[in-house]
Amino acid sequence: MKVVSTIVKIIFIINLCLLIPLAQPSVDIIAFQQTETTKLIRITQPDIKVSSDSLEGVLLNISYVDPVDHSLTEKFSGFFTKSQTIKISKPGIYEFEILTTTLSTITINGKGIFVSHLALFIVSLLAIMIVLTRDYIVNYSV
Amino acid sequence: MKSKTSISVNQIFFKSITHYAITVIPLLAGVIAVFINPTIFDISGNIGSTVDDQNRLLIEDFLSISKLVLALMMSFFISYRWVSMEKDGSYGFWLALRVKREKFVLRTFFMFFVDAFFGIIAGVVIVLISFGGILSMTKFLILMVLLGINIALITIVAIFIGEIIQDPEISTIVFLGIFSLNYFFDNSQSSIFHKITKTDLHYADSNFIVPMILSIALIVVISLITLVVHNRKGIEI
Repeated sequence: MKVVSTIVKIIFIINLCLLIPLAQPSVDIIAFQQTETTKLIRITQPDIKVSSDSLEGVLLNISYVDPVDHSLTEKFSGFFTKSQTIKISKPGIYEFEILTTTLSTITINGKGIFVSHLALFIVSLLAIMIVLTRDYIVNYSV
Repeated sequence: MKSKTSISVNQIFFKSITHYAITVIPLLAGVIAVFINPTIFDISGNIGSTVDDQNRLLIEDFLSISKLVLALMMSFFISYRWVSMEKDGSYGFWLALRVKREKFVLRTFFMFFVDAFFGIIAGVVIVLISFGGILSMTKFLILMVLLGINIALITIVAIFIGEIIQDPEISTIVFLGIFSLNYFFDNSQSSIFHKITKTDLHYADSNFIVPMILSIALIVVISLITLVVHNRKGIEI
């Protein structure tokens, strides 16, 4: 039983790594006027909040780059002013195309955590709670 | 029913935090190193090649950092303790209870290998699923085989160094020197030193067979020398 409890504890610590994307810092892009800026950004969170400091609208085009066959899948295309929250289906590298009328800074913030990663974490949390309870009962019961 | 060999190995090497240190610390170091990397890239050439480069760099960074930390851990938990167990008499105690020497060496090798391999493979999976660098199945299997060979090499060299050097501190430093100095040399992919110490980084090459065979040959030679030296050694019971 000691082997099982060690393995469960190790798996729990490993699963803590799935929560690391919550600490991801934001990314700034400087967009020049009248020229299209294209950048690749690695996204690790399910929602992103795009915000700009200019008062006018920004033309934004986000597409997912498939790592195996390099095909592009469009996720968002259109204008936004001030800020916009966009839902993204999977982690990976995304292509951002930005066109503005004035010089402005676009800030990209990740929000939340993927449901599948959270489910893995909760399962390991339940497992370690069961193991710790069992250890406690075996070691300290009268 | 546990065998005498496994009880002796557990008593000598795996009493306190060894499992956690070998499995978890290299993984955490690697994941944090990958996480600190920049997440915004310019496009150089076409999009496909940039994405491929970044995904390859992600896995290479993880593997280099985590294996460096693994070598750091093993220098203490294997090389240092291997010398000190022969000096302080704890190994002699188990020899007096008729523990076979070959079985003890192989069992120790196996336990440390399984711990380290499990940790680093779990780290690769974590990096792949949470940073989105997807590998194809064949590439992943090749990477696993090459990683296993490389970790086996690190483990057997740690035991070998502990076997031939009679001072715990010097054996630690020699082992660390072998596996950390090569990260400061700018050695190219084609050199033999790179092929042996960084076998796993050749997973994307077309000829990954050559580094694989070189490492396997080295593992067999070193393990045979270790067994022979260990059997002929006079250890106080």
